[in-house]
Amino acid sequence: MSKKKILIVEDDADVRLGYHVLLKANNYDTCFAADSITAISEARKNKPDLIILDLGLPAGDGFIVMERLSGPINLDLAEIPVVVVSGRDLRGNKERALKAGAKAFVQKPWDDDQLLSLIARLLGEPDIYGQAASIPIWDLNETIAPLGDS
Amino acid sequence: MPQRLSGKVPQIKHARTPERGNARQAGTLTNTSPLQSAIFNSANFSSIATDASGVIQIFNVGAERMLGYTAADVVNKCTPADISDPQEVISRAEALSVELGTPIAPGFEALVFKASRGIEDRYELTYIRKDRSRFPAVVSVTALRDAQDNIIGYLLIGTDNTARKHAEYALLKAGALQNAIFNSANFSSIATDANGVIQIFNVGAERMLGYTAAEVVNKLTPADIHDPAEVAARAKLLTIELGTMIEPGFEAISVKASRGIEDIYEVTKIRKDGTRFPAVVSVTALRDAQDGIIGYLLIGSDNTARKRLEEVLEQIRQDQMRFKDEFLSHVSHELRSPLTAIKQFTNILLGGLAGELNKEQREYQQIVLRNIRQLQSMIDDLLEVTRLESGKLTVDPERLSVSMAVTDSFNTLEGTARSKGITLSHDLPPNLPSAFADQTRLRQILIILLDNAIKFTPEGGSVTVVARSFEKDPRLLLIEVADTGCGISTEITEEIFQRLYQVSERTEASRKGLGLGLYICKELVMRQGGRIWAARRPQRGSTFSFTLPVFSFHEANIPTNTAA
Repeated sequence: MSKKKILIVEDDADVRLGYHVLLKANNYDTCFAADSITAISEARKNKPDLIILDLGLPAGDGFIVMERLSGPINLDLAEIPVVVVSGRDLRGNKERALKAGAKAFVQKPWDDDQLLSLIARLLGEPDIYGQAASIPIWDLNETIAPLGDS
Repeated sequence: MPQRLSGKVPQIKHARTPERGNARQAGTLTNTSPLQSAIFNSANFSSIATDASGVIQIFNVGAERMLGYTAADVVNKCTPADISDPQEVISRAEALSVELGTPIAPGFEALVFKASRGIEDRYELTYIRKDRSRFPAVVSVTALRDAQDNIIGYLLIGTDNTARKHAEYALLKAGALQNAIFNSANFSSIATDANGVIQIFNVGAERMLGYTAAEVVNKLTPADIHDPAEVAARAKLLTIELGTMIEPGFEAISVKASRGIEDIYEVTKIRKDGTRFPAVVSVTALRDAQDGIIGYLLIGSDNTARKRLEEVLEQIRQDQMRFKDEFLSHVSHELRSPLTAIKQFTNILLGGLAGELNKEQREYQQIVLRNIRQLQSMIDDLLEVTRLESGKLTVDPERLSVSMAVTDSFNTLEGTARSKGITLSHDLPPNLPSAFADQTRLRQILIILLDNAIKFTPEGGSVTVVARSFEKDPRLLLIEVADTGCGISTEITEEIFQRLYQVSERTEASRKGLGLGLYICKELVMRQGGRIWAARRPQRGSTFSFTLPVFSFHEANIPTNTAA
């Protein structure tokens, strides 16, 4: 079985490298974008299994990326689960991210095990990280409120 | 050569002012009484007696004090003209020459000429002190005569006129001020008759309101130049306040003043051209001698500048608040980015992703990680307080299980407690009613309290959470976090919930934080309708207690809402 591929959309090069080292060590392939425009082209080119999307980006924020991903010309990309990451933990941002179709919201700086647990669950892999206080996964079809431990 | 006085008053045989009262004056001067002597020696008058040619013979204590000379300095040496303003002496000589039609020399003669002719003489004069300073005096001059009615000398009684001059000046100024105020263009002064019809409309009113006095006097009432809606609103308010029907017209403006109540109010005035401006108006009732009201005086000032200033100040205040909030939010966000990278790579090193670490390297990286977490929680607290104070923090209460929240927070802090050898335990009755609270916020409160308890409890201690119905009020749940730590002194049980409070003993534990945790807790509890307090435990340690509303007692509870 081939490795799952994760697109990292993050403008900070250090943070990008950090993701890469962590994800590679945990058996994922990675590809990168540092702005909202490259994010779309990389998504189209690489067809990732999951997108980690920072909200604060140059040339349009993460919300624009989500809008384009779910737009009519990118139907094949609309099913890719998006994990939104932000340094600004405004409640409004969380709600906006949920409405825009994100699967989860991660607060910077995150806990590695929590992030890995979240990724595993979103990709339908066994969750070997066993975090009790794990990051909830949202399901827009079921409820507007964030789900508890799932 | 006239007879010289020897310096003693009783030697004067006879003195009189010829016009009238000769007998009485003569009596008082010839028969020296203790009173006379007291007056003569009074320090409040200067009494200077001269011989007929004006040479000073007597110079009393008052003169000495007033003029700064000793008697020895002047007696037999100079005349009163020498201690008077020379210019004034010259002017007086000229004036008297004209008045009396005879040339009068500008010297001592000018000071006593009238008295020598038997004319009562009292005039104002500037005396010059020994130190050359000057003061205004009022001088009264009397000729001293012997038994044959020959002039043997003069008595000059002087009083210091400085105080009166000052008072006169002040009065003059006050009068001018009053006048200036009434005619000032900066105040509108409007006087009405008892019915409110305008009688006086000053320059200020004309300028402020655009009407000429002729246009309004005997025609309008001040109510006609006030915003009608505001007059009506004022009438309504006064009707309630005074308990009697107040008509929305001039009565609304004058009723308080008519009852002797001080009345200063803000109102919008309307100019002749229809433009408006905010004014402050002070109303006074004008009364006649029998205390009957004959009219009203309305002093108004244009409040535009002050209103504008208030608006600008308020704007600045809001801008500053917003700037502070945005600044803190921005800074916290920007701090998080590098912190994220630091944390990532520390974890990478610790996870052995860049090669295995030896024991020492691992230990040091753990220290880095611990400090990252501390910095992270400080940034979180800072952001939380910013949200609390900018009103951006929302509380969304719902039905929830306190037991679940406690278990949840235990899971989060298990590791921290274990590393310090502290036992976490809880006592949660199975029949504990559901709370009506915000899940995230309750978790936040519990984590802050538990984290604090662990921080201040020495190794091997225990932290216990107890929840039950609040016996003092069944509508509330009581949740307690008890530790076996150093305890808190009873004096600070209130203070510790204040913003930026830090335990004064700078223990290692107390230094690790911004002093915002308990403040955030208090705010969060209060915003959910509860209360929080702290107490010293009888044995050792402290208990932090807080209450939250019970779901079934909450007025907004909906029985069908069972989602939790």
